[in-house]
Amino acid sequence: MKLSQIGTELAGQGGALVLEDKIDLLGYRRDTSIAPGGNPAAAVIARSVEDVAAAVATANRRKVPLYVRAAGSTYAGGANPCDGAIVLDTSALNRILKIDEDRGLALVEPGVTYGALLAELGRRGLTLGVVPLTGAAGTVGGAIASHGLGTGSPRYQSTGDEVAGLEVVLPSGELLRTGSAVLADAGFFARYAVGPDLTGMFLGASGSLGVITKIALWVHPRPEYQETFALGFPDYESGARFISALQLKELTHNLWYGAGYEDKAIEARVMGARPQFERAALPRFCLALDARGTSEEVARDRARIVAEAGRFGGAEFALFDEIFFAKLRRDNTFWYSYAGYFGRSMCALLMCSMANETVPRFFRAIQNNREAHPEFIWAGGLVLCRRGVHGAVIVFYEEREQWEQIRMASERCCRDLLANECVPYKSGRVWAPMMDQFGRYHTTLARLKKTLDPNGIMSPQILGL
Amino acid sequence: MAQDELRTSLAQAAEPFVENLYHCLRCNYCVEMHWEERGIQHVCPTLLHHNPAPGYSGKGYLTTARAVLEGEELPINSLIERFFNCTTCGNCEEVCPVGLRPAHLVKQIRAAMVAQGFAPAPIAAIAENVVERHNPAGASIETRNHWAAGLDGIAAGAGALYLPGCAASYEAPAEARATVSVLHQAGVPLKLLPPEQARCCGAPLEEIGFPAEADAERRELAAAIARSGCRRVVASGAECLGSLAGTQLADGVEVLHAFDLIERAVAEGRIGFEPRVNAAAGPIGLLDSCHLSKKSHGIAGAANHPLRIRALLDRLGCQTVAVADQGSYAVCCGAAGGMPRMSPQSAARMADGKLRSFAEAGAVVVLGASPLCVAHLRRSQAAGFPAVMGVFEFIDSYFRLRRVV
Repeated sequence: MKLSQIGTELAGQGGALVLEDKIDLLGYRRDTSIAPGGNPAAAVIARSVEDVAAAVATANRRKVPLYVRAAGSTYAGGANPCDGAIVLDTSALNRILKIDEDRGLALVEPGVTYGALLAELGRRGLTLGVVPLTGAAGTVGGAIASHGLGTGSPRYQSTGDEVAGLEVVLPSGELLRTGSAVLADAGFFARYAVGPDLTGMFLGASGSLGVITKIALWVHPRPEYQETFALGFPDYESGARFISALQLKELTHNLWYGAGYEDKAIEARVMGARPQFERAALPRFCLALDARGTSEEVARDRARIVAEAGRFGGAEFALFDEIFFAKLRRDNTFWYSYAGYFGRSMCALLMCSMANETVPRFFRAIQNNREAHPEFIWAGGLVLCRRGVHGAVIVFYEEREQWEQIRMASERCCRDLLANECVPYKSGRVWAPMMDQFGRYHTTLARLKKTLDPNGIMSPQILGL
Repeated sequence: MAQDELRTSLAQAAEPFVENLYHCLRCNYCVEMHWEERGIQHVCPTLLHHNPAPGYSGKGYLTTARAVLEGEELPINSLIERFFNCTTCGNCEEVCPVGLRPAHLVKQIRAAMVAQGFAPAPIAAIAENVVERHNPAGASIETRNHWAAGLDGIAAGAGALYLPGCAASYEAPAEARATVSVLHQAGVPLKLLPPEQARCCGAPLEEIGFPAEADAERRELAAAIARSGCRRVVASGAECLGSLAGTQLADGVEVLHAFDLIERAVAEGRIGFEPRVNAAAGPIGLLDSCHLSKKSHGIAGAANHPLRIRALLDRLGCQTVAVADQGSYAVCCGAAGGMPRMSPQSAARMADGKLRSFAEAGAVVVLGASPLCVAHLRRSQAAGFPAVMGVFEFIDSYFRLRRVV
């Protein structure tokens, strides 16, 4: 197919593959989210940093919006382009550049999938601190650009907290290295160096401030032993107070995954698996936990955690452990993924963070939305973090019939969550209409963007920018 | 006008897959994934070796078919090029966490394109060969059984009918000969169909979008099987096995892969193996042919012969090597779905990638239970690559069978 003028310009500057065929561009319209997408004019599959810089330069010269994307498997819409844009596909930048055991880090390109990186680390007895719930096909670049979390979060918090430094192509086309790598010969070994942390500026930014081209991630020893168990609580309030106690006493140190579930989800799972179970005996809140370390560490921590739960009216609930982890851990894989976990496939995932004391209000907000929109199936879950919790509202819908309705219902739910002090986590496009609620943060972010990206070419509309 | 009719026809072909089209999570599992615990290193051979554009792959085909169904005007030539450059291996179906069936969709879309007269020339040529000469290569009907000349173990009165399939008959005759030889040593005499009665099993036609012609071939083959009077059909071709397993044969006719007979005889203690003097194979790579190992290929795929062959090799003390992609998630070698005709260079790169991964794992010989894959890999052999053999060729070369009385 003959390339257009801009396609020729993009292709002429390096080894990048330029796509303009409408069929190939269909796949770049949207990600897994319910956020609207557009029809890009072209896509560039970059194979080098030079390709990235060239694409950014072309977009700047022609003042065409440019969106960055890898696997496109997140639920926030951060990779969804507007009409006429260029999509910069970084999935072919997928090399593991170095696993530096002396420095305890891995240096990778953004298109490396978690599956590939974990396999390579696993051969050395190592692993990553946080593996997001997008699963084996999710990319490191996509996760850190959209604040991934999941396995490892009770111990290490978020994917961003595990980043030691970045290489970024700025909207100007210039190359920036952050952390200790500001001194090129020193390379990556410390996140905080010289002055303010510029790394953080690009985490969760969905490519709106620059294109991440290299990522230094901390690596950790892979724990040898694993046990799962679940705790049941009589209400959300006691469950939330327990989580605070758990975190303050640092009993999360050997927890690699923790998922909290509301009463409806508990009932559906337990009664589905054991119809004879006495409904009245069901706890209202369950926390499923995965502890790893040495067998001694796990046994010690488990006993302490169960004892602590008892102080808040909680107790072990073995049946929920069995039901919850049996499906999630199908392959005894080190990490957890939600792909294929749910009985239905299409869902809107609305992600937020909250202080522990907000948990009861979070679940009440879901219940309110459930009652307001009974045409959808609503579920709510928590991911335990080192501090606070991460909430996910999961709304199952039929994409063919309910596309417009799900978007309206989701926006309503997002506003409800905000009113209940739940803070957007994966923002992308899903929360973009609400960014003006964040006052000075949003205006400062917009000013920063204007400075870095005067032509406004990088991911316009993402994060409401 | 013709293009409008094609668009309508494609939308109709996509309609039965509507559940698939609107339930794709876009998780990217079928595009690029590495999952060590499952033996997945990559997924789509077309993306790896033909074109990395997202119009290909399971996700690409689902997205495109949805756009077709929703009435979007897509460039026809690109549509045809993309849908006919799938090997239909089914790895996308194997990895899909929600059980979607893009490879089945591809076959339906191809059939609609063919029905509207949009079959690419190399694909149409395959169909023409099968219809006229009953084999995809277009080889002469008369030479179909030439591989069996002078071979012991063929008996007109045998109760088992041997169907080597088109690939073994014409492109991997050594495997057909070895199969007869090994089964003869195991005490299983075989009968062959006369060349003029032999037919294609229909699987290659099914894959490239000619279901009616496939059905006609299959029915004629079923009739020939019935005329043979045999109650047992022994196949070598992976595709034949799957195709015949889904065909209405006469009551009580059993369809087996040749390896099933060896496996049964070993399990029942009826045969033993003695290594031939001075013959020792080096490390062996075992090809997980898609038709024999992926559930999307029905009964034959679910039976997972490569897994069972591996068990026999272990029992015989053979050293096998592990490659990163193996088992039911192995990446296709490029032999099927019309790929070698449609895009020969891409198909050769697929084979090259396969052999390279075996070479890197230290294999000196690669064994395949599907003659189609064996013949395809042999065509792509380069210096330094392991030798490629059929499973029966290997057994016959390195072992002598001993009947246990």
